[in-house]
This record gives sequence, structure tokens and C-alpha cells, in this order.
Amino acid sequence: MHKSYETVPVGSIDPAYQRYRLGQPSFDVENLKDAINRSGLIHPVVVKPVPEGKYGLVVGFRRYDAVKKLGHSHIDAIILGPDEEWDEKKFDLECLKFAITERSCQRPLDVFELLCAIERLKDHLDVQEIVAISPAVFNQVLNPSIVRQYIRMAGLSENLRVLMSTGRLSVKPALMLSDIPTEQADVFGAVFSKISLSSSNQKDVIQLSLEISSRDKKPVKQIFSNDPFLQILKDDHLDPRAKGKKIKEMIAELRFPHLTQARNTFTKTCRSLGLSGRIQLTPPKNFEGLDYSLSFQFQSLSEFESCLKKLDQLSGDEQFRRLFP
Amino acid sequence: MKIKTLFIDYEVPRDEEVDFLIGSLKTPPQPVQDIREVYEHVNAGQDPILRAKHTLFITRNRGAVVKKCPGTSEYTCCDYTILHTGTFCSMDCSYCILQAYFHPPLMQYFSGLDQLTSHLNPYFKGNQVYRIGTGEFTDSLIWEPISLQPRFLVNLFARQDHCVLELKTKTVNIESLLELEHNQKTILAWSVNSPRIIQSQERGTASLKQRLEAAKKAEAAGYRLAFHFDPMVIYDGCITEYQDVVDQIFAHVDPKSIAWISMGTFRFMPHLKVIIENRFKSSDICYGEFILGLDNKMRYFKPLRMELYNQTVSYLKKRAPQVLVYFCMEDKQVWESSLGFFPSDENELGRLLDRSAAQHCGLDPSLLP
Repeated sequence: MHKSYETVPVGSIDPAYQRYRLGQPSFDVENLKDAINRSGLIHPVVVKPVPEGKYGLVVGFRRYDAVKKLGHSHIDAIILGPDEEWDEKKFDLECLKFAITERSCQRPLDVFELLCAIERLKDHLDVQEIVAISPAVFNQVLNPSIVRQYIRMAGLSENLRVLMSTGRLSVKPALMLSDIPTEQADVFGAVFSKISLSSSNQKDVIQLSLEISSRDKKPVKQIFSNDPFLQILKDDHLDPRAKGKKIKEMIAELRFPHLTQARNTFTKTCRSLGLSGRIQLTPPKNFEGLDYSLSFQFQSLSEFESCLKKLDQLSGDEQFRRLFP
Repeated sequence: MKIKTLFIDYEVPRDEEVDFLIGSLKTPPQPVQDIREVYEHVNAGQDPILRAKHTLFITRNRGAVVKKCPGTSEYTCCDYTILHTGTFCSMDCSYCILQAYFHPPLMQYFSGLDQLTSHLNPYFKGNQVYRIGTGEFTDSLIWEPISLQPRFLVNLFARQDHCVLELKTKTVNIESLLELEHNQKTILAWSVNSPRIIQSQERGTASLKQRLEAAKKAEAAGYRLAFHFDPMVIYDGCITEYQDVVDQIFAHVDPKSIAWISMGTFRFMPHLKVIIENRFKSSDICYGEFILGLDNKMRYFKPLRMELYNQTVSYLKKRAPQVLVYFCMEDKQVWESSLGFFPSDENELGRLLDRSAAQHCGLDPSLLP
């Protein structure tokens, strides 16, 4: 690839050309502006010629923004040009690799950047080819399954990518969202931006909500835009973790109303019978089997005798008997 | 049955049975040396399961021809004996376990009527009653219009009094069986469901009315009958609709002709869910209140199953108290709550069914314990 160092007019750079931007646009360039004011532009931006006699940025989007805001008329730039035998596609691929390499050699790419990078590389390369160039371009060895996952997530909306880069959406739930229509996926994005849940709980919420939506023949949006979900999401007194816990419980209850009710009734009855402390009664899993189990803890003979006495009383208790269908 | 591609194992000899099959299908058979060629053809389809429903492989059964139904220890099994005459099915029910059971699914016809005779003979001479059926890995009567096998089996069973043959179906393919001297040793059994479930989940099957009309014809021809409410699906209004199925059964046939009626709610291996979601986009059958059962299959939360069973069984028993009703793969609690008893001893349910088979089909009573 040809490189020439020039000072070009800031106005000759097309700000709408975003092909090689990997991260999210950063609007806070104040510190960078100060630094450029003090020391000048240490690293020139990298550009390539684009139609209408303009340049498109390959590297240095923030630097360009800062220089523009400073009101400078010109900016130092490295201008990339294709080798003789390259067509436009090959040139695009090399510029893309250049942009990714430049970023990944500074620090490991975050999820958002990886998504952008792999999404664009897949226009040129297959999974194995991306894996092969990964040490040099990504500064890390990407395995094929990771590359495939990122390709699968290529259709995720900007909102969901931002959530991923801020750690509010994990890869596995994001993969689930990449398989459903964007409009639905964005509903989950909006919910997850307000609550905090582990990856597996996010997956559960997505799975159960989609099942409720199919069962009740109503869009996912309708589930979360109604009370009591809306109330919880808007409750300023609850922290995101508490909101997440409540939302997960409510979705499970909506999906499995009878099972939830049976569990709640059992737990409540056990509590009122004093069977939730040192004496514990456990029902069959999901109330499916036939075997109940009873355990108790004691530290002395008198505690042991007191447990036995309690158990003896229980067998004649009507409330206790009603626990067993 | 619409077969677009017909393969035949090169080791299968061309005899009357095979010629009849090929002649009925009107599709030129492609001889294959290796079953992998057939698998490749099926797997090349965008939906291999659908392609498998239009592909038939005529071959020999190289595995067990007669075997016990596997059942599970956690739930009560009917101790049925399986006659393995073919695999898979040309109809397309959303909930069908065969979609997930074979890898890949493949519709096979096991030729060799002589092989069936030789494997069944020991059972015909055994010292106990056997209930033998072909409906475990395929629908028993999808084959009737194109094959000699069903009528051969009816004739074969007619000549003995130790075993009863149960042909289980969702079709109305009984025409060639009506004139046979079956000697009541064949039970024609229909899987039944509410018209709503048949219409929405059982593509390519006969309607409930058609099935019951066929049952009426079979009864008129002297056949004994059975009905299987399986899989019963829980949805708003299901109890009334299943009770209506009960009414319709007894509007068509006399309870005295019915050897047994079984009931089982929808249950499935967890990985079937993905297949249903992919192949039956509008089906909501997987979104009931399912929990993981003791046999690692998803099944409805027990109180919901019990409610449906209780209401359907009590309704049925009012109409026909003498008909033997049993549950397929249920536990003591379900049995006692709906039927008031539990066949707790080993093989007790099997013995109840044997007794009913003996009474209805004229089996040798000295074989009963």
C-alpha cells in the first residue's frame, strides 16, 4: 500500500464517510483539543481518496473531530493509495485491516469494535481467512467459533452494540437477540439498559418472554410496556440489580403461573408451620415426583427432642396435611 | 403417501411384496448399495425432515424385528411389544417425536413378509398373551394403500389365538382390511385429538370425523377397536373439546367394541422444541406450562395434567363405564386421582390390557395368569 504524508484541508475530509470507524462516536474531545493546542497533532490522521475529490478517514476520527472543533484549516494526514494491481475491493480490505491493526495494537478491541471489525471483514473473507489473519490484524488469535458468533451478531442494532460495549449485554444473550427481528431485540435492549442481570438470567428473560409472546400472541413490547413491568422499570428507588431480580421473577411467573403459585403456596405454608428454619420440608422437584424430603438440624439432645416433638405435632396439623395432594 | 424419490436396497429381492409396493408408488426405484446415499439425499434438502417424508427407502430390517417397548421405571408402562416394520411417517405432526428420534429421519419400509412370520411364530406359540403393534416407529396404516404388509399381518394373526395385533393410525386407510377374515385378532386403533389440535398440529392426517367414520366401518367389519388420546394438549377450552371427542367416539361406535382407550398428555424430549419452532412457526404447542419430568422429557405441570385427565376420564366413564381406560406413562398420583386405582405390581397394567385383549379378541384364556 502506498503512503504519502501531506497536510490537507480539513474541509477535504468527508465527515460522513464512516466505513472504517470501529468504535462508537465520541463527543467528548475536550482533553484532546487541549493536548493538540499545547503540543500540536503528534500522530497524523490516516485517510484514503474517496469520490468527489474528497478524503475518507481510515484512522483518527477523534483527532479529526478535535482539529475541526479547534477551527484549524489544515490537518496532517497520511494518504493511503492502492498498489498497482489492486482493485477497489482489495484496497478496501487493506484499509480495513490497517484500521483494525492500528486500534488493536494500542489496546485489545472491545466487543463493539470486534463486532464492527468482523462484520466488515466478512464482506471480503471467510471464517478461516479471518482466523488466519487474526494474530497480525487483531493482535490476538481468534478461534473460528468466536468469529462465527460475531458474524451471527452482525445484524444487531447500534443500541444493542452500545449495551454490549458497556457490559450491560453479554455475548450469549446477544446471540439470542441476533436471531430475532430487530424491533423485538431492541425491546430487550431497552429493558436491559435499565436493569442488571447475569448472562444466564438475561438469556432466561429473553427465552421466557419470547415464549410468552408466542403463547399469548402478543408482541414482546406489550409485555414490558404494561404494569407491573413498567412500574418496576421506572421505579427510581430500586437499583438496577433489584429491578433485574424482580423482572426475572415476574417473567417466570407469567410464563409458569401455576407452578409459581404452587411454589409460593408451599413456601408460605412451610413458613407458617415453622418448616423453613432448622426443620426443612422439600417437595419433589417441580412437584413432579412423589418423594418429599424432610431434614432437620440440631446441636444437642434437647434440640433433637424438640424437633421430634414438633414433627409429631405436624402429622396431625390440617395445614400440614393439605401440603400433600 | 406422495413419494418423490424411491430408493431400494440392492440386496432386497424383487418379489410380489416389493413389486406391489413399487407398482403402487409409480416412482422408479433407484438401487443403492450404501444407505449413506439415501441419507445424503435427505440431508441435502433445505428441510431434511420434510424431504424425508417424500423419500422412501425399501430395505430389510437388519435390527430387532420384535422388541419390548422400552418404557421407563418412573412412569407406568403398558408392556406393549413392538413389531418393527418400518420407520418414520409421511404425515407431518408438529409434536411427532420421530422428527427428533432418527438422525437423520428416514422413511424406511422393511420388506420381507417371511421375516415377519419367522419372528412372530415364537410369540404365537408362547405361553402368555402378547399385544403386538406396529405403530411405535411409524403410523401402522400409512402403508395400507401401497403395501401388502398390513393385510398380510391381519391374515397372519387371524390364524392363532395367543397374540393380538394393534394397528395404530391417524389415517382412514382400512379399505383392504375390511374384507379380510381377521378372526378379531387385530385391533384397529386410532389416535384421536380435538379437531382444533388435528387442524393446527397434525398436517396431512385425517380429520376426527373421518377417523371415526373409518372406525365405524371397521366395527361393522367385526374389528375390535382402540382409541388413544395422545398427545392431549392443554389450552383454553381443552376440557370441553376433549369431552366432545368422547361424545363423538360413542356417537360412532359401540363401547363394547372398544378394547381400550389410552390417554397421555403431550411430552417431548427437550431438543424437539427447536425442531417444532423451526418447522412449525405458528405452533404454540411447546409453550404450555412444561417441567422436566423424571424421564428427562418435558411434560405439563402435574396438577394441570391431573385436571385434564380427571375431567375427561370421569366424563368418559359416565358414557362407558366398562371400557378399560389407562394412562400412558403416568405415575401413581395421577392414576389414583383420575381412575381411583394404581397398577402398582410389575406388569399389572400389562395384565389388565392382556385380559381385555383376551375378552375382546377371543384369545386363549388359559394363557392369562
